[in-house]
Amino acid sequence: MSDRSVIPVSVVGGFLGAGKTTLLNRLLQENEGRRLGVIVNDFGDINIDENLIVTRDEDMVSLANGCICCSIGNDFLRALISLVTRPDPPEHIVIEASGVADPLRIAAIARADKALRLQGIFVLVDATQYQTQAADPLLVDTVRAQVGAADLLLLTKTDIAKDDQTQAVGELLERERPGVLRIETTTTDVPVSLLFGFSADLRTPSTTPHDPHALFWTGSIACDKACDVEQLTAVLEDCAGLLRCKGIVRSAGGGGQIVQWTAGRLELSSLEVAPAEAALVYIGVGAAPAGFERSIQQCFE
Amino acid sequence: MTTTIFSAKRIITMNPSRPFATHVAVRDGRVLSVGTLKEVSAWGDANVDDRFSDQVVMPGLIEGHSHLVEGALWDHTYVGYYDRTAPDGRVWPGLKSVDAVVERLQEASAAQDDPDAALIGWGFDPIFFGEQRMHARDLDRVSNGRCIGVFHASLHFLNVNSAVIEDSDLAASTDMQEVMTDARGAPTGELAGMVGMYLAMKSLKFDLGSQATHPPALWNFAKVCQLAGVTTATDLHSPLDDEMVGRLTGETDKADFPLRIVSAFGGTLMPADKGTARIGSLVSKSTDKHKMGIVKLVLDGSIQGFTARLKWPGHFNGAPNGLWYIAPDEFKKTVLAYNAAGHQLHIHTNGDEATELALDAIEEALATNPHPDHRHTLQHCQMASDAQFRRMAAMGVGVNLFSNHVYYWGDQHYELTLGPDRAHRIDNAGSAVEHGVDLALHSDAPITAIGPLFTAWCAVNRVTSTGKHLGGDAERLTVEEALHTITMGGAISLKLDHEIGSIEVGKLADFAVLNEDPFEVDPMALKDVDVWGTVVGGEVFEAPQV
Repeated sequence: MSDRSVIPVSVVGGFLGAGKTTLLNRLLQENEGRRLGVIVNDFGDINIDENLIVTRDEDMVSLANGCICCSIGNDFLRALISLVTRPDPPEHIVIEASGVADPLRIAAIARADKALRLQGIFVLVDATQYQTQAADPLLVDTVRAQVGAADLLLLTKTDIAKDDQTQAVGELLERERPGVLRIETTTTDVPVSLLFGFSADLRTPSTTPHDPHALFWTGSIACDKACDVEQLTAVLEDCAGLLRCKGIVRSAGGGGQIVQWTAGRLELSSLEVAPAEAALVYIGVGAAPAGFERSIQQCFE
Repeated sequence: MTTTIFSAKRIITMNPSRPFATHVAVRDGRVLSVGTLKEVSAWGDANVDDRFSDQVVMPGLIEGHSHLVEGALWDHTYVGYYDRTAPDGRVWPGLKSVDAVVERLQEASAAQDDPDAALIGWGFDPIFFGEQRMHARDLDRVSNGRCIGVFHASLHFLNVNSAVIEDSDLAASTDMQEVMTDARGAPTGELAGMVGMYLAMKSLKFDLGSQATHPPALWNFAKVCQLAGVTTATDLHSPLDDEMVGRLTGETDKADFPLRIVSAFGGTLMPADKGTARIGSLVSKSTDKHKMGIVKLVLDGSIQGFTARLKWPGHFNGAPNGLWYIAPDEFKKTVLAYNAAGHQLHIHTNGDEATELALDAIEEALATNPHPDHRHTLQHCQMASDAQFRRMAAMGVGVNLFSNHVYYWGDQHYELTLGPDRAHRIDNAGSAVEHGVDLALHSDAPITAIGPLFTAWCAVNRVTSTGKHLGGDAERLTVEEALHTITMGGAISLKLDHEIGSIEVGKLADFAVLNEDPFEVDPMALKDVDVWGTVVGGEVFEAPQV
């Protein structure tokens, strides 16, 4: 069981103009109920609806949806520590890496602190610019390092890129990071649940459909029988591409359990009273693995 | 209106029309007259002050590239390899082994009342300890309970004890390049980069940046400068928020504060449109002893950290090229914006690729918004080629070289980072003079100790810490040239040459008072010239006798 006080950290990297701010704007507004702490390079580009703002000072804005947005101000580390050590720390921290930063070096901080857990590094690549950047002797090592750090590559601005451009950049990225999940997008249509549910361990076949929503498979199961949680854990762990699974199940000795599977970890909370209705829902990327539903069903015997 | 005439064994004025004198008259904090007693007495009644009759007086020395964090560090325990003078004048001997470092930390730990407070060491430099690295168990000998962190001289590395390791998740993160491991794969406690700085800030509650402008740190800084004969020093990258400006103005305004501070605004701490507005609003808040108006930009990292941007053939040991701290296009836009707003830029470039980009950016900015006396200055600029100096001269760009590198890292540059060819041309002050580029020299304190006479010695002798000579005679400065760079050179690079840098009528009465004549000693002894103290705006500040 994971410690609830450990805060997952996502790092959003990519060169200037790749669309990091657009993505962060969306995360702040489509937070899916999570109290996010978002650290940005500068407020100037963040476009927060004034009606949402509860309080604001020079380096921090609190939103009505529970999210906090901090600007790096003078010192990124100070901004991060002030978020982590708040009496009410955010449930999830998202860090915008600067346009020239190697996101891996920022992610290293999350890995070094027990209070944090690296959830994933998302690197945005501008489909209209990447070929030029990768051919520029002053930039090639910077953008390559960024791509090299990615757990998930978001190929952005495909709506304004020429078709052959998107394809060429896709091939370039495939050569640099074979097997790393890559999504073609315009930045505004990346499913937020994909980012939050994403696990850094996730590796899927490098298929890149043009409609990111077609990437998902979903399913559900309703079952009144008791659940073998150990077996369920094993099934979930074995399932490549599983993003989230949640629901309530009944226990063999009476009572029940709330099941939360996020980012490669299972969290369980016991219920004294058996639930009236027991069900699980799940969502994953790629193609649904063969036999997954049957394996899940076998956990309820 | 009181006039004081100081007599001296000799006054080195740095004013070519009157290079030497014996008396200087001071009125209202400024130089009224320089010459013989008879000449300076012609202005009327004056008190004659003979306390410098055995001393040599020269213009107050100028440190054109330092950082106020030097002052904050002196609240902690110095554990460096070289001797270093504390603000109280005490010389802390350099420590030549890990055991000696542990021993000094044990003393500091015993003297620290709060058993739970973290203990911080700084200035650690294992470069001469061979293969031996400091391990967490070494620091565990200092104290069982408290968290301990020891910063390396570069401030980019940190050693911590087991208490900090246990407080962190390092044991599970040994695959990261930031975490050094021992033969068994366990973390040794040596950390690099932001991971080290993060844990220092979180576990050790150590926040150097915010401490630097607190009054105790400002006084520490001023006293370290005073002991080195420095009367004007820079804080060459500052957020300059209202609170900081208030503290800086408040402390420096005090009559007994022995230093003028020039703060450079960190030009990329906010977008250029806001930054130009911010620095524009600060200029009028400058005071006699705290000046604002110049802007600092950082383009790449450091050579010894393998983070500088190098041109072909890159690092001698094959390490990949370094890092841009700001994207090249963004940098050009930033230079354009500050240049258009009329602010003088001080641009950190270490590698020659960064220097080339900086020169391109300045050239484009000046073509758009010409300024006849912009004095944009490249800071460090350690690998500049002849062709780059020629471009600087053509554009009126100045340079402030990091001459202390020749001594402290020259051997490393020769063997590891740059190889013999480029190590020989490191911080080539002779070329700068040859091309007529305005030249200053610096310590980058706290990276190396503030001491312009030592810095001048480096430029004159170009000898490494193991005794190797780098570059031919052409790259060496004469003693006269070197003394010019640490006085007038610094003043010119800060656009303060109308106020400081020489002892001549109308300028501020800022002097370095020396117990020996730097022109009389062997050039190899220039660094050992003893400093009596300073005079700032006519106020006398004797260095504490230890």
